[in-house]
Amino acid sequence: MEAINWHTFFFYLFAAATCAFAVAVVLSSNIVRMAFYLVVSLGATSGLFFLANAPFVGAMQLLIYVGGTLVLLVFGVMLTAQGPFISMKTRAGEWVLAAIVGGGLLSLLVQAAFSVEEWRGQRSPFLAYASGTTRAAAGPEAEVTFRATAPGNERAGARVVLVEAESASPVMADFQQAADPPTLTVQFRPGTTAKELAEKFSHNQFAAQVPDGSRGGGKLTNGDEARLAMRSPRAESDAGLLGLALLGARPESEGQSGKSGYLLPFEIISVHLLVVLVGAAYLARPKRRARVEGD
Amino acid sequence: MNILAQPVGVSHFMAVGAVLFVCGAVCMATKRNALGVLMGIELVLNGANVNFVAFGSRYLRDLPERALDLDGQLIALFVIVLAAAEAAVALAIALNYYNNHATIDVDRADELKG
Amino acid sequence: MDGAIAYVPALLTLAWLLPLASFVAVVFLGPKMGKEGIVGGYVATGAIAGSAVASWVALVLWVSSTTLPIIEHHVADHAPSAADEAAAPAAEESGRVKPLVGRWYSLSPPGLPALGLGYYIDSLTVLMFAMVTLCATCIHVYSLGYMHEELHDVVDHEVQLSGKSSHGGHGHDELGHEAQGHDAGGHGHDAVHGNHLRRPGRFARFFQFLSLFSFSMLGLVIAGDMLMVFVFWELVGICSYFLIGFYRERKSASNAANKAFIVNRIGDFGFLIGLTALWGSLGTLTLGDVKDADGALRRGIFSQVRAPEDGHKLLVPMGMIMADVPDKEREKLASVYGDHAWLDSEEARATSTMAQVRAEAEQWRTDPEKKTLGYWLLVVAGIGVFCGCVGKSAQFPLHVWLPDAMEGPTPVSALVHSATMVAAGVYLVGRFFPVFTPEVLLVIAITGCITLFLAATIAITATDIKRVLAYSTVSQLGYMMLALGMGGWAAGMFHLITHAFFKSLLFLCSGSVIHACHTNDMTKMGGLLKKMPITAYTMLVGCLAIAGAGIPLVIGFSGYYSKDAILAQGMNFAHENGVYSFLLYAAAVGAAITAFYMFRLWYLTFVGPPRVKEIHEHAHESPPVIWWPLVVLAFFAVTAGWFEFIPRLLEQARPLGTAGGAGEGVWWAVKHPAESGAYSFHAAATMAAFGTALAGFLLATVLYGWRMLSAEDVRRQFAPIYRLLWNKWWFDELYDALFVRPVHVVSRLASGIDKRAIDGAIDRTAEGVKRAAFFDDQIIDRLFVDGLVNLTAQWLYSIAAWLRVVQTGKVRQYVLFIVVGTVALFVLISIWAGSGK
Repeated sequence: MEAINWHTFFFYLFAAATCAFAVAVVLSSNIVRMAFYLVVSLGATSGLFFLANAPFVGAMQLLIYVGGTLVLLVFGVMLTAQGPFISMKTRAGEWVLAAIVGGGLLSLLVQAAFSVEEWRGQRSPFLAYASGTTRAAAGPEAEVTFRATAPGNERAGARVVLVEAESASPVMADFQQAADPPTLTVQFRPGTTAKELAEKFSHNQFAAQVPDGSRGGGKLTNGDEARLAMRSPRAESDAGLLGLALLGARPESEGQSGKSGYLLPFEIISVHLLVVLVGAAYLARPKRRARVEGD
Repeated sequence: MNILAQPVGVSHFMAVGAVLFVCGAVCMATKRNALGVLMGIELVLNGANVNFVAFGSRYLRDLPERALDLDGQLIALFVIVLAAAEAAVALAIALNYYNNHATIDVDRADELKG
Repeated sequence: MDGAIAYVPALLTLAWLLPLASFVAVVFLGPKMGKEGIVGGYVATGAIAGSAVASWVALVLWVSSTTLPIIEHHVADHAPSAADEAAAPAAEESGRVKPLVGRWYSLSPPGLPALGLGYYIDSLTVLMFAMVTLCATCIHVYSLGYMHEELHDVVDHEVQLSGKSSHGGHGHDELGHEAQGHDAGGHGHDAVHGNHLRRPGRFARFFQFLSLFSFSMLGLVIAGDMLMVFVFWELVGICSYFLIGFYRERKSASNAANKAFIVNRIGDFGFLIGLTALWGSLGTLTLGDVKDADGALRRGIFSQVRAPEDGHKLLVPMGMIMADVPDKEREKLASVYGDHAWLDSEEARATSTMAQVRAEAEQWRTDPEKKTLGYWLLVVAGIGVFCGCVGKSAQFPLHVWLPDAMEGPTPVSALVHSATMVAAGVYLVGRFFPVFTPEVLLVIAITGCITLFLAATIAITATDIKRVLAYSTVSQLGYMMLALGMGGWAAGMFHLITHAFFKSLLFLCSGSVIHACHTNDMTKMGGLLKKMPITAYTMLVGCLAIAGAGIPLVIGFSGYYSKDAILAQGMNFAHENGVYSFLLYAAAVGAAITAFYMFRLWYLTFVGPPRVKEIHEHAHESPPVIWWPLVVLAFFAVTAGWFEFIPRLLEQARPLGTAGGAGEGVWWAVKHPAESGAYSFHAAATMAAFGTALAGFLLATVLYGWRMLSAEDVRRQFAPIYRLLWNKWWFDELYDALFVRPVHVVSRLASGIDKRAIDGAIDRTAEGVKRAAFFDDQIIDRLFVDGLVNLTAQWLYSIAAWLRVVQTGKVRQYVLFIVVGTVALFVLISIWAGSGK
């Protein structure tokens, strides 16, 4: 019996709540109950957002959706109440039709969701360490071969990420057998400082550190013990980062280009919101003039 | 195989998103109450949002650098904001429709029938 | 070979000939046997029971003297590794039991191409014998009770001699009991009774045909020579013609018999072409290797196509390569001497280049570059034989005859639908499996897929209890063809056996219901559970078996195992050939529909309030002679799949060289995986089968069991689809327009020419001028000028009317349109992208 992964446990908890109450919304015929189920479903969705490491979006979901939109909906329910005896029953045929079409769409989407193996997240990367000893190679280059160690995770099938500096792309490596760890060989000029070597490994959040402690006074020489420690792939996301990203500043994406900010869309959305508010007020206003003419 | 011991991935979030989306679509297709249809739309938008956030998250992937990163979350935020705006307008329309027709049944709004 | 197994051919021959003896006896002595030939019925029943005993003794002998192979359960990775491929032939060697091949009589002198009467017996033959004789015995016993009224003079209420008095409630009756005026003058002995026909009973004649039918089917199964297969094939056809048209005074019955016969002729035409291709190129029609009169071993079809020295791989036989050799010769000579008429002369034929080409031909056989040489002939042979099976097993597009065959008495329907006629086609595909190239198999799979889906959808709307079962049969046959076409040889044959049990059970149950209610219309039944519990519960067993009910991965009815095997092979196939995964989806959807319409039938018939009071009060449980066969068949419908007995027995008969999969297509990219690989999909297939069956069952229960949703309402919602299905996809109308009407037009034209030719020349000329003017008016003026204008207007109008329908103005329907459109786009793109790979 493997240990319970609590992240997974909470995911299934929230997912079950989300789906169950979403289905309840569909099956219920009482509009007030529907609104209540919707609140619970959306609340549970925000839990999913927290689990996906997006706490700000989750918080916004709670604030805007559960706090704002749904109150609006409930207002609507109250304003258009028609008494309990007017039933707007859906015909059986429409239920069957909707169920067939919905079932088709659902099977399609779920199949699509599980069709890409990388999305299944069966093997999440572990915090990996690699260590090795520098030694001279032919020519002016020296090289160090790092052997990956992932404390506590060396079981077969576990996956570590080693980052190769030249291509700045991560090399995925699996522990086929615990006794045979994946390795990465890096070449460098003798006299490179440990800091410079570490910089070669800087890639996104996979920053590597080569501890200073070599005999050459900060420079790497043959026989040095070099170690790489990789940061957790866990991204730290908060409102501040989001805000910066909105402005187009990405503190962690030095190597990546082509991503821009969202300031202009944000402004457009703001104006759009304003227009919408005015429009809504206009549409929902009581028709005074008509009544005056009628009087 | 104990599924609780396995880490979840983007796929699992997408599956939840799919359920939400389909529930929303079926809700829109079966409810005759305009507000029910509105709730269906909210569900659909949320289903999309779950996908955006899941694709944005590095934590869920085998290859974290392929994540959409903050863009996913930003788009999710935009969707939330748009959903709020849309709810306000739709509600206004519903109220107006109710004022004019004295009912909230969308099946009665078939003036555009060909 | 064990000693006891040597008795098997003799036993099976006895089992085969007993019904023939009974047929001969009843033909000559039938009317003199007891009162109205009642003894004839006992003779026929005794004969078939005797052959059942012989077959089961043969089965026991066979099982006791051979070892049942253990089915290899490869749970390993899906890609067939080198180890798998190497292991496959070894497993084949160990599991297979050499077929018993022999010849009773040879039609040709030694040395010449051989024709003869022979047998080819392996475990499949023995199993088929056991199944056919058991089902036939049950049906014979059942008929003793069911056909009781034929013992004395019969007043046929379906046949009206004159007048047009209307039968109440025939408005929806799909049987098409048209009250046709019938001239009694042709039958001197028929007497007029009131308005209806009165005729002597035909008890003995019925049993004489049943005997002949059983004899023909058994002969088809035991046959070791394609010519013999063809002879019995036609005998089966003619027997079904006799029996479907048993009530020959009814216009509908004689039409149905004609239809069955003619439609089968179309298929048999293809069969003949296939046989000719084989005969012309291989010089033999025997299946196995047979010793000639001079003691030389003559190679049969199987070992020519899959020669032992090639490791039983499917290679084009020499005879077929030779069909392409003349072209190659011409090419080569033309390249040396230039293209002249000289090339065709005798002189040219003796040139050394010619001999060179012929000598080379021997090597082409195994040359991968020359793989396509003569390949077309192999494909033609395969498609041709399959054409015959399409007709006999009622596959699309020749499926139209089977539902009409319901005009025969119910025991006949049971026999035709389970053990004999339609089983013959599937059996032949299974027997001929090693000769089919992957392309042919793909055609078989697609045909089966279309058939199963088409028939299943039609069965949803049918209200005639026998017709629902008929379409269900067509659909299940499609399943078998699909399984065979996807390389699931054992799965298809397994389903053939289990299906025979539960389908004959279902038909006999429906016969019992009809016997009690005197109507076929389910909408007039209901609430019969209390009245006839044995029939109801045995039918429930049949429904559960056909729906594949069971506790997943633990135990289930027979259909659970066979359907599971088919779906597993489907997943296996879809895994290798992503483009054709629609075959799998259609099979899964078909399974859901099957469960739905079977339980719809059961609920409509046995539960709920009685819909017509008189019928309900009249109904009563049938006599023991009718319900005992039901109980026997129900027992087999439950247990036939247990302990993997049948799949393991079938494993002994698996055609040589097919255990590692049927190979890869040469023309089309299709790869048939080994059936042993299907086991890794076993759990998923079980879950899919269970889930789909449960979905169908729940929908039927909601609509007809609990009546939570109104079925009437659903029908109105899906009105266009309902109309399409009610009219059976308009196939009869389509064939009428495509084939029948043109023939009528052509024949009328021909008769017109005839008449005019007799007329005098001047007369004809004058007539011709007149006619030309008339045609000018008719064709150019009315047809083309007016017609074009009218047609354009009509098109525009109908397009506009159609577009108008879509604009319902209903918001909620628009949502559905969007979703359906999205799904359709996705499916189209994925098919397009999938095929581009």
